[in-house]
Amino acid sequence: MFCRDFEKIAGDLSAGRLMEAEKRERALLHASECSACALQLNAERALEAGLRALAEDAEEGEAPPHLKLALRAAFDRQVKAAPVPVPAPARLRNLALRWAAAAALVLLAVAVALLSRSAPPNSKKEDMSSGGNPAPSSIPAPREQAPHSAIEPDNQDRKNETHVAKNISTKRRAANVADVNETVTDYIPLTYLSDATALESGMVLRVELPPSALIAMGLPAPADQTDSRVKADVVVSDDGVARAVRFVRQDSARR
Amino acid sequence: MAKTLSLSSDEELLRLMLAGDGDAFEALYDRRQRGVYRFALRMSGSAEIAEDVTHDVFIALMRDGHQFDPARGSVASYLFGIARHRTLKRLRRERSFVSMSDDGEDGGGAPKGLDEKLVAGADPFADLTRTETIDLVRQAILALPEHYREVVALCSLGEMSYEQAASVIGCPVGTVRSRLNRAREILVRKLSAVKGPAANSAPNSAMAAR
Repeated sequence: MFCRDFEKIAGDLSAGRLMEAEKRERALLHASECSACALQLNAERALEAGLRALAEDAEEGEAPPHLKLALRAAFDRQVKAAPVPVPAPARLRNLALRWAAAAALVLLAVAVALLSRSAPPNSKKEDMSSGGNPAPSSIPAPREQAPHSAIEPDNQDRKNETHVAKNISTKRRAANVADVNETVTDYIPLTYLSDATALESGMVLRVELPPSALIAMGLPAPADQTDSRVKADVVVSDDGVARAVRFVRQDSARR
Repeated sequence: MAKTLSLSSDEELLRLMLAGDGDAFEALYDRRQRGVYRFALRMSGSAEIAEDVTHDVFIALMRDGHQFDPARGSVASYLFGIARHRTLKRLRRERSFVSMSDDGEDGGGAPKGLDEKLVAGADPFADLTRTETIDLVRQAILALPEHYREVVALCSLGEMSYEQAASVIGCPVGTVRSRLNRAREILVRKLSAVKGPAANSAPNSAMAAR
């Protein structure tokens, strides 16, 4: 094991996190032979002891008792005021989703038919649906954020997270970028996002993505368009994390 | 009933709570409030913010809990996700609660590089009492940038796995790992840098925890 490899796992080693037994043995062996890494391991262990002391500190305490009383009162008021919505069973939710998907497909077919009628005779449409690309939809996005601020260029980690947004030919546009000459899909969430954790501010970035970026997001990439780029709108929250993405198809006559 | 609830899973408690069961709400609150409160406290350094965040998290759970989807993560991750969102929002509004450093991402001043870091000594707490150690570590964590502070609060102090923390933050597991490594590196450097003055204030005491 080299020192640079040891540095990467010194924290896990001192924190007692799970790792392969062989890797752990090699790391300890390396520390026994390398004085610099042995010192680092000691420093990491000391830090770990400090972190544990803080984690176990009784003074950190917990929420005050009156908060529980207030929350219980609020809960009881809410139950009295309105029946608590009971979530539909998963089977029914799935059924509803299937119906919604079917309805979206019908709408999509109608929209495509209308677009093809209204397009100039010489225009050639790009077939985004080939090769497993996400199906475009004319349904507008349910939640779109107004442009807020530029991505904070603070560190490499954030750059990694927002690589979707920063990858190649990034263009900022107004939030409602979709116009009559664009067809967009619904937003596809990239992280856990519900109303409770909903974005209150953020921005939408129009980007052109290579197929590899789609694969990195776990989305299907067009097999027959390895050299082409796909236009997409990426919702980036204030913390620099890409939260959702939708794909955009532009009318070829506009390009 | 209370004993039964205490054995129920978070998801079961949430289901009962959403059906109007106040005892289930209390049971879920009792189980999760401490983690949520401490996370907010460690992120903000303010008991007031921590209390407000805890309140907001459980109010949000009452209001929007039916939107929880177990396929996307655990109830705990869901709650910590809300707590993170609320805490960061509050911190941005009230920067003055946290003594953020202006001179670089790791608070500046300290020597850079492994060799220099190690010159400062392997154990920065060797001459400190447990209380001093805790204060020192707490301040060092509060001085970290938010994206490093949250992984320390979740993984190192909250004992979450990298996967759970990634679910809370909404980033890849590798990002959590690299952030935590970087955060620890910064903490070692910071604590090594302050060893001198702190040690001088308590020359004869030893760290009680060790």
